Amino acid sequence: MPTTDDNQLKLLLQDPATRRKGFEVMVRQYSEQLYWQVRRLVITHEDSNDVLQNAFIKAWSSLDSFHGDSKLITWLSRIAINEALDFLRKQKSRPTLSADDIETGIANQLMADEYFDGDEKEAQLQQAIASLPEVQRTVFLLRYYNDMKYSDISKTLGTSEGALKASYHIAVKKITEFFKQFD
Amino acid sequence: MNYEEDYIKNKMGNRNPFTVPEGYFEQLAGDIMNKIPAQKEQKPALIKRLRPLLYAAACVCIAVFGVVIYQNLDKQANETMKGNFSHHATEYNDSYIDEATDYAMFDNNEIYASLLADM
Repeated sequence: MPTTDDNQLKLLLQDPATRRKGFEVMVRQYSEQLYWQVRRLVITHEDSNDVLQNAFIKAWSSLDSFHGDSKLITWLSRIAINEALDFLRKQKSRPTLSADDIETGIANQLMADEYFDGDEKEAQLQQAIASLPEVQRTVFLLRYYNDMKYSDISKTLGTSEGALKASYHIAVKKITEFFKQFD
Repeated sequence: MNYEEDYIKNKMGNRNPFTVPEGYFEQLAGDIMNKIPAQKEQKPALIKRLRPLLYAAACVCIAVFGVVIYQNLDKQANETMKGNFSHHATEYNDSYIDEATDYAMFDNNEIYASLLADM
């Protein structure tokens, strides 16, 4: 799909007459990338779909507050990732599942999930990632899978680059230890 | 750190174990746009709608303020004039009384003498 330049999109979004059309172009251009960012955090397809759609609805409502001082994808990522993190926090606070159950049950849940194509080791890796504290988990996933710059992650999470680098370093160590137990 | 990252990359690779339903991304944008509310004609902000009323209120306030100030100034001017008059009246009264007192202190012989002096 041919991509539309960020500046052109911003112009479309600024003008009320073309705003909806511009938003649709933006959704088509960035939804898949954002979906995978959300999916790696939220794990299941159904939850990821809900989170992503809510994120775009929020983005539509917040268009007036977007001043064009960052890239559109950075702005959208911030909304989508925060929406995913809010979802995970609510999931943890649900009385039916303890925090331990959520983390230890992820590998089992994934093995039964029709939209998970990995083996048991891959399922356990997802469990290891899910057991990381929130910032470590998020920075690891964004950095490792999306190659996102620390400056962009910093804007997304509202955390300093120094803290993110430290979190990433710790997350990498923990994931390495996870793999070494199978060596 | 690079060693550990390389180690993880060797172990994890680039494989994505997550999948999506067939055609999911093709219909995703349509699903999202169906949930976006139709763009309504934007009402002007409340302050813009109230602006004519605010201007009218400001004019009324200025007018009332002006009238009050004018009345106060007028009152002050009147009181100042009364003060002046009463001051002068006092002066006049005082001098009249002084004169009257002086006159009253004349006895009859002195009055006749003064009358004869004038003749």
